[in-house]
Amino acid sequence: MLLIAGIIITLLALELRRRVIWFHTDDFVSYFDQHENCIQTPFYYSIVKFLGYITEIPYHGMKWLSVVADIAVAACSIFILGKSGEEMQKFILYTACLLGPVFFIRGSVWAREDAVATAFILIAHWMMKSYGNKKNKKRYIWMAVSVLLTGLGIAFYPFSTLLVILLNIYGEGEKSRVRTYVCIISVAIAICVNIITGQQQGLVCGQSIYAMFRFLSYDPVSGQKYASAVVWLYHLFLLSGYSISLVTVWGAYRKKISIYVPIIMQFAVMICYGTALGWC
Amino acid sequence: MKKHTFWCWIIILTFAGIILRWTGIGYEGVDYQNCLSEWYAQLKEVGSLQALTQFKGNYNLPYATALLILTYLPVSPLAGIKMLSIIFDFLSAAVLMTIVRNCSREKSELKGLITYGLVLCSPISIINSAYLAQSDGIYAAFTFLSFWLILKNKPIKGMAAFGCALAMKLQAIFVAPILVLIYFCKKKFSALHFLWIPVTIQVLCIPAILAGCGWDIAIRIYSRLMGEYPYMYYYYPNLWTYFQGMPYYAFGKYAMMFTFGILLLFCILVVKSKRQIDTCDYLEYFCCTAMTCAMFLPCMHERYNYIAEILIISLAVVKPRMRMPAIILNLASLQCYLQSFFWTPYNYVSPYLLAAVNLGVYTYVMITCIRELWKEREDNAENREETDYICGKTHVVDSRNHNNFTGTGA
Repeated sequence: MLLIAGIIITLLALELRRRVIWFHTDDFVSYFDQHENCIQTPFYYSIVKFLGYITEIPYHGMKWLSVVADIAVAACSIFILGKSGEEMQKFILYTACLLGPVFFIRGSVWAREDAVATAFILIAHWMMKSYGNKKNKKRYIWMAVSVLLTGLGIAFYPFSTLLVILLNIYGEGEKSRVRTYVCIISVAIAICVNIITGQQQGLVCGQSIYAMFRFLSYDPVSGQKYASAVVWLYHLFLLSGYSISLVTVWGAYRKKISIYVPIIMQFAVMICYGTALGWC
Repeated sequence: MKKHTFWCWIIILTFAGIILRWTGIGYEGVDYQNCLSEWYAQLKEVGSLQALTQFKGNYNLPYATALLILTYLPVSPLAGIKMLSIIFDFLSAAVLMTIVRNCSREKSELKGLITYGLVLCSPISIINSAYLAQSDGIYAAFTFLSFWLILKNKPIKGMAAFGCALAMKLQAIFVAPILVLIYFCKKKFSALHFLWIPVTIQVLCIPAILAGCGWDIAIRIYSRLMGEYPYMYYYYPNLWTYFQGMPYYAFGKYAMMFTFGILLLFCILVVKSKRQIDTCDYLEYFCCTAMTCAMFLPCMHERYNYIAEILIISLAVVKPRMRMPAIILNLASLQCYLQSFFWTPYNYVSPYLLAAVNLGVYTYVMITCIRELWKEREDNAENREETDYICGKTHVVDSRNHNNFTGTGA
């Protein structure tokens, strides 16, 4: 019964996302026009260029990528966190990750890259947890793939480093030393990937590295420096809203926090998104 | 309680309900002035069944037929339209009284009496029927009747009552989730019984069909009504109050599917808990599902949570933890009614605040309900584990009744 319900939920989620593919927000151009001081990385623009070969409008390509990523994030959440015998809880977690308004709006409506980067990181984490612990020779291959995927996730959306750090602090199974090395090597891979892709776009080394940290200082739409601390905090909250919502859902699933926390967080993040998009 | 005491109180409360409603019988609300009086006049002008073919109102034709019948009666249009709704207020109160009497084992008659009084004298109910001349009381009465009849294993009558409710107003669809839940939990009737719903609607549309409307008149009117208000927020303080700028064409379907997702989750949780569900529990689930629809569906008017607002009153009588939510929800709705229909500058409360209150009440009601279900589910899982663990003698501890059953197992 739960399997059938899960399929229904997946189809529902796909249909919902399909319906908003043609919808665009007022600020969508800013995320694709490589304006001065944009917060997107060279690797992001390489992916956008690649998507241009698949869909006519790269904006749609990013949305479809987010659709796949949303399902991957939901699936990885239950694979990583789920324990056997907890079928009902896993089903609720899966539904929350797919139908949660924050996850729906951020990727499929707003065409932002949070879900894609999170999917990379979660797949890597799941690989490390499932295969990286086994004592055989293939273990190192899985670990290498996992580190590479994590690095690509950070290269795509540097803000997701926060998620990597959280997963590695609270992750289970690996020794803390291994987790620290994973973090460091992943960041190094992310920097290298951005340098390589930046060079293809005519950027020097320093510009490519600096592009990974511009989200800390510049408005993503206008490319201007943040006018005040309040505006800076607001934009950081917008950037971290997806990760915070996801982590609170996980926390409630693991009964580390009250069920009210993810509900309030989803609501708060939605209000912020709504304000940014002119809906509130 | 003695029988004659009970009936004395019923008579007193009935009179109280009539007097309270009589205070508003002469009031002409905006909807009456702009819509109902015009439709009445149009029907009266034609005078025959033909009037139904020219009916331009946004109500379904069974209600138009009722209005047409009123034109033949020697009553003023205002009083006639209001009396039609008021009669069904009493039916609602009577049905809910019966349900509550069956919920509780102790002091059932007293609780039933309290329910009857509270529902009848509820400000929401009085304003809706007696002041604003709305028909929410009519479809609500039929939905409560439908719910009760299906619980009593009378599916044909229950589905017919639901068909009547749906024929009166499309908002009766909020009851569908609980009927589906009862179907899956009780498994006491066939899915084919649901076919009585369209049959009933068609039967009620017979006068209109005889007048010359098409066979599909009910479907055509529903299709028109569903697309009539393409806004996420339409004055009911729910989640979409905060996102009024969201375009309906892009997010309307998301809101509907999100609501469907929550209802699906809830129903699965109830069914999988394998709980022994009694009437009181079904009443609570009815309230939860009705509130879910009002909180998350788009284009909700102020009056669309009427069913839940009345239900939560009866629920508060049997479950003490519902008392505060019932008071808060009804106060918030009362404020919404007052500022929508009786607006004065000094009684204005921000719709954002009202929405926060509504969402807070809804969250509390749902989470407490789900926690009980979850606990039941975990208790059942423990019982099953204990049975599996001990080999030889099967020793089952029923945690609910604290009985021990011992028998020889394989």
